[in-house]
Amino acid sequence: MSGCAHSVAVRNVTLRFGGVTALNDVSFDLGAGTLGALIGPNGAGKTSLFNCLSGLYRPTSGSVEIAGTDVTRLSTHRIARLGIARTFQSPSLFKGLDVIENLMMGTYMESSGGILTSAFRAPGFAASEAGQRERAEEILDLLEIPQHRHASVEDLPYGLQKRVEFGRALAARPRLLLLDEPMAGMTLEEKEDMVAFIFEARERIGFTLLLVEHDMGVVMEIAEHIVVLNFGRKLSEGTPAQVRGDPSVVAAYLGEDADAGRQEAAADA
Amino acid sequence: MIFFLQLLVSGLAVGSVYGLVALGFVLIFKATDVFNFAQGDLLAVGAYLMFVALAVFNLPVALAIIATVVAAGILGAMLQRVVFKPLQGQPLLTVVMATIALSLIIQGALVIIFGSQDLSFPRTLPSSIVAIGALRLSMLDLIIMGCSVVCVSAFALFFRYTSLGLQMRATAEHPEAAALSGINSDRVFTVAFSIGTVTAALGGIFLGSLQVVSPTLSQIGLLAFPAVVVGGLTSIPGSVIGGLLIGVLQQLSAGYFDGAVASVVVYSGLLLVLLLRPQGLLGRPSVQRH
Amino acid sequence: MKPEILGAAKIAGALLGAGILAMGTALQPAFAQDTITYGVVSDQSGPGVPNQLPYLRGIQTQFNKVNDAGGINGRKIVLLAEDDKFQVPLGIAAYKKLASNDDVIGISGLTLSGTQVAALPLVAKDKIPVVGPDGTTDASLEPFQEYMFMLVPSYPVQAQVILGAMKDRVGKDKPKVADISVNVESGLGWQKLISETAEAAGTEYVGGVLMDATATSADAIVLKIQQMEPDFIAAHTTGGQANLILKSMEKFGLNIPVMATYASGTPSAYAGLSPEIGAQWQFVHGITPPSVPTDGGKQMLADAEKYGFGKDAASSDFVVGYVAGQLVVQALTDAGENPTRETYHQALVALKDVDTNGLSPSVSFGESRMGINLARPYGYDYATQAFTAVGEWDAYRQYVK
Repeated sequence: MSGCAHSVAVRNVTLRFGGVTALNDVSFDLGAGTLGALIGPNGAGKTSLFNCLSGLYRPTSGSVEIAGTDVTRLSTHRIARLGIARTFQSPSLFKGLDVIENLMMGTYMESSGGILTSAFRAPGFAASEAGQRERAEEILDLLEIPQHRHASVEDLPYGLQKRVEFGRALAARPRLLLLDEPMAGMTLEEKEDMVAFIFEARERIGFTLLLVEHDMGVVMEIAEHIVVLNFGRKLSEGTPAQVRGDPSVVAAYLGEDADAGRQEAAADA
Repeated sequence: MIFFLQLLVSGLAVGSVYGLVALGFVLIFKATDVFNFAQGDLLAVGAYLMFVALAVFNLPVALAIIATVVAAGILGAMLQRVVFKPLQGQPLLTVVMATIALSLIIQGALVIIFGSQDLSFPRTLPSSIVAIGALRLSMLDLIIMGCSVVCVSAFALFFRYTSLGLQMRATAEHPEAAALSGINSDRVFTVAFSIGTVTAALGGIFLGSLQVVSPTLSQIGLLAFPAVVVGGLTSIPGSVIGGLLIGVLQQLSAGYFDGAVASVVVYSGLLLVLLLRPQGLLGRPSVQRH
Repeated sequence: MKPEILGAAKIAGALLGAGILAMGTALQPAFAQDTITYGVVSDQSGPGVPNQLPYLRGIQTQFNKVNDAGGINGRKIVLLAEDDKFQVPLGIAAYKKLASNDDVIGISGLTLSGTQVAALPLVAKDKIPVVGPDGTTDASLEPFQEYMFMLVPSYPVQAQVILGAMKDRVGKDKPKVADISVNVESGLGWQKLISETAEAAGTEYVGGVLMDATATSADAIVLKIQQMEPDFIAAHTTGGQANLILKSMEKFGLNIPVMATYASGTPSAYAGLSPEIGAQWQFVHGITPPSVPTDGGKQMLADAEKYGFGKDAASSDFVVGYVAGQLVVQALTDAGENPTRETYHQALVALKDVDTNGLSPSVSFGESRMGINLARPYGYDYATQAFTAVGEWDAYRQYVK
């Protein structure tokens, strides 16, 4: 069931706008199929990095390679067609569409034709639509929300909206999935559900994951590889244990959890 | 009573023209976030293009309309490529200045190319008089109203049921998410500008048939803006309703009061709507946190 | 002297010499002894362009023509055209520049009523003759203005001709007149004029309607007029508005004759209408519109084509400029070898019965300073697509007091 996941190679990416340097010579690698996490304090450049990966920003210098292809200068819709999906911090669902239609937007790429076929309702449109609908139903089941199939997305509670957005990204059968704070604003129970969904989706689809998250518990539970950013620079990179034990990370970021972290690291060693 | 009805009907015909231009404006704004101050001038361009088709190429009326519409579509696409694409990401004020500059350039160019005199279509759409009871209508008024209904319905269907329509709606709402769904926003913007220019051009064809073709058409086109504001800046049906309202208000006030008062009434009405319902009649309320 | 200083001095000297030479050349030819400079203040880029640009070109045509024939008493006449963009402050600034900086011998234009009125005291102080603006404000006639030489018949003269001619045409004892006026200052003035002079002309004023310049339908206007039941209408509208009014009158089956000021005298007023409907509208003018076949008109068109102004020569405003240009050239010629503002002024006053070859009644400025104090009506012939004059100039002198 799994497709080929994409590896990610970020090389010396610097991003400057106006007088602000959002990213400063950042490099890291994410192996294909790895569950990765990007952490760092607010303003560290995490969302900027995501935007470089998804083609919204063009780095001032440096390069980004996804599955060996240089995507640094590609626009978002082309990057999306390479199999990259992304969610946003605040839900970016399409309010004019209901839940299942939003999910189907994730599969949109497979159906769209040229200008003329899309301007009118060409016959092929309906046929491919059936296939897309089926996939959307699968996602609804996976995420345990089939009852909300025709709900208006605006009426959904925040946690569900984020789940639907996650579903839309999954519907695209991504090979690289970028999740920008998928747990933000969720209750403990919702978070546990999301973690489970992420694992299950990874089982079914087999993508590389890069996750931005503030909740350290979640990060430690999911991530196999962590990249730490601070003030636009990469501070540290490695397995959860390595990162927890890295004194610079501890000093800058983990703060009070430092003692607990060091003790755990000692226990693991 | 007949007086009132007669004025109402004229108002609806004229209002349909405003509505078409307003529709194009809202479309462009929704899809591309560009506040196109040159929309009224595109109406004038449409009228002049029609004049060229009729007087220079000697096309029959139906063919001339098609030719004008196609030319307008191409012009709109070119404008997007040449003027607005390079300005993407620039601050709002820059883009607004660009549309104002475009407006002035178009007005100047029209005078340079066609001279400053009034021109008229050598052949027009049918304009025979139709009597319905004691009401007297011009066939032209009926054609205009009919065409506007067809256009608006066509657009509504287009948005709701075609893939391109879906792309435009998605891009208008959340451009990044739409791009991530594989939608080429550049293409969407081009189409939006194309359609927006075509509706303005249609308005120009109708207005040129109702009266004469002159640089003043740009100023009449400006009345599309109150229509847009009344209807709601982001509502397509709203823009058409706004146009009809403005047209009717204009005619009724010209009939019951003086020509002078007409403008006052129209803009007072506009102000009233804005005070009571700032988002326009059909627009969506926006709340900004401070 | 040290060699370096000598070298530097040579270079400095050469530069200084070159500079003086350049300045001298730059300051020279344009306004040297062998030319006459003449100024025009008009709208070249604003909303007044449809009327004022052809007017300017009419003057330019005459000047080009006389220059090609050797100039005025051997001198070329140079036209300095300033753009007032239809704004009074810019117009006044342009006037001042022409009068003082450029030291022109005379001025034309100043058509925008606000500019014309504001310029009157300046003109009187500078003693600059102003010939033939494309519009005559009341202030230019009353009180008497020494230096203003008007060509376009004033609104009162047009009103007299309209009311008088229509009264005779309708044939009733005291026919009812209503007015339709464009909703700008001149239109409001027209409405007042008709309502106040109707009685003296032997007619009865039954009401008037104002029409917005940007109105897209005249239905409301015409319905209101219908309720007043006039025998004829005295109108002051643009050609485009005339077209709308006629279309609405056709829609409602109204057959009321209209006679209007020259503002509506464009072919577009008659476009898209049947000849029967078009025959309802006539306009008066103090000059002959270009499409009416006259010898003067043919010559004028040929001249215009020669200088690339063929398109503009289709406009009546071009004729006004062309006639004004002819009078300016004539007066400057009459003023002799070295014309000054004074001698030019005297020559203008002395102009009497100047023949414009059918483009207007004969022009005499004289003591009244009104060159053409007359108007006659014109209609449109759909067959020839040209204007036709309704009668001879003299037939209408009786109406002008």
